[in-house]
Amino acid sequence: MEGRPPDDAELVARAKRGDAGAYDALVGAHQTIAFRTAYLITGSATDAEEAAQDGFLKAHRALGRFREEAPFRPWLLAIVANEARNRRRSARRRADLALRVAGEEPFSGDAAPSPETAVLARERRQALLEAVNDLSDDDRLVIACRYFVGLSEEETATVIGRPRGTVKSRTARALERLRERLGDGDD
Amino acid sequence: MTELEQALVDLGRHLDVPPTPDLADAVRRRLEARPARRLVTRRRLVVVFALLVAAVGAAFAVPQARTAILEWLGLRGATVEPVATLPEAPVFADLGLGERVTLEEARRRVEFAIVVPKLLGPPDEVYVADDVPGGRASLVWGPDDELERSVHTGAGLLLVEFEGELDPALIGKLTGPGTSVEAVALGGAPGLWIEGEPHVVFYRDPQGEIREETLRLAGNALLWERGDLLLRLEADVSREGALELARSTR
Repeated sequence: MEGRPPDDAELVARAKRGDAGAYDALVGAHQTIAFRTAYLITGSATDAEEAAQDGFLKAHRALGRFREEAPFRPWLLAIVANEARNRRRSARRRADLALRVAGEEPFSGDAAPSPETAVLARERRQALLEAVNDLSDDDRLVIACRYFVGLSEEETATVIGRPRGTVKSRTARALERLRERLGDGDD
Repeated sequence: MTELEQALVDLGRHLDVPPTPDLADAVRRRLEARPARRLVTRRRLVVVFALLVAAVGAAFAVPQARTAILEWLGLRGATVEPVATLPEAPVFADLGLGERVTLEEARRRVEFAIVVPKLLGPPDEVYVADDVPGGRASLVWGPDDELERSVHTGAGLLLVEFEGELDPALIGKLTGPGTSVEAVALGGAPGLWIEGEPHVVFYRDPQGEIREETLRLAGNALLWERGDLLLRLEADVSREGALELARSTR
């Protein structure tokens, strides 16, 4: 009983009854994924922050309409993605994704690789990233949602506002293009 | 997962993504700035839309038209409250439209897709208010050769939009003798055309109180549904002119 953090459904039910702390916890639990999804769409940290913040506010306002048995995250992401798309339409830009500067890699939990291995890994990543940046907007967004943010097919479908079948076919097509691109480089 | 997919996951961990800002803090502050009114509102109110008909309007006196009006109101679970006298209303009261923004900003601020009559082109001024769940958008067109300046709004045409669905927003209308209320159909969707002597339009707060600042006289107006939206067009135009404008909304 103690120690188990309340799950989304429980928090949503409490937030619906006006419990501000519960909504706070929901925001805390989903802010990173909401922000990153918005960032992929807008390509700007400022726009992404605004989109995510407004998305959380609109979701709060619409909680009354939310079915409690439904999963919260895809629903939230759909609202945030919509906010992000609106901002992107007005800003009209697409920023290329970039690698983090070498040495600032907080995610590597492994023992430090040798300098040679690190350089090779970096080159491989750079080549893959260039191929990803060369994809069409639609393809890149699907790849980013699935592999960079780690969304499910279903969640990706709500983010791009298309059926799940489209996510499947788009992912397959994008992976095929990446394979072609990288294959060309090897020859 | 294929090797390529694994490489993509690895790439995702090495991308230069800006750190996540503390959204929880900002969201909490913005929610506190706007107390739990909405939630309270949703729980307490079941009435969606109230039309108060004072005395007996010309059309309302005809049983057939009255039935149509009541039927239409029934769709929205509304109540009709006959009242004996019209309240005093300042003619040039603040229109209570909310905050002035750009159309783009307004589209971001409300939860529904704002529609615009194609015949008019983009509005001259746009306002948003969050006094109804989902937000309320008001589009204003200035007077010109075709749109006369309304003595009630000072504008050529005023179009107010908000979600009618589950919203406890209450709009009331008081019509006196000399005002006709007529049921009209807009491509199958129900509507009401109010014409003649000025009528009183107001918004009610969640407790059902009529707020002074939203009480004002209104000219000819068309009220109609469009999907989840409820729209109210006010202008010194004919019934046909209003219907044509309404049909051109996209």
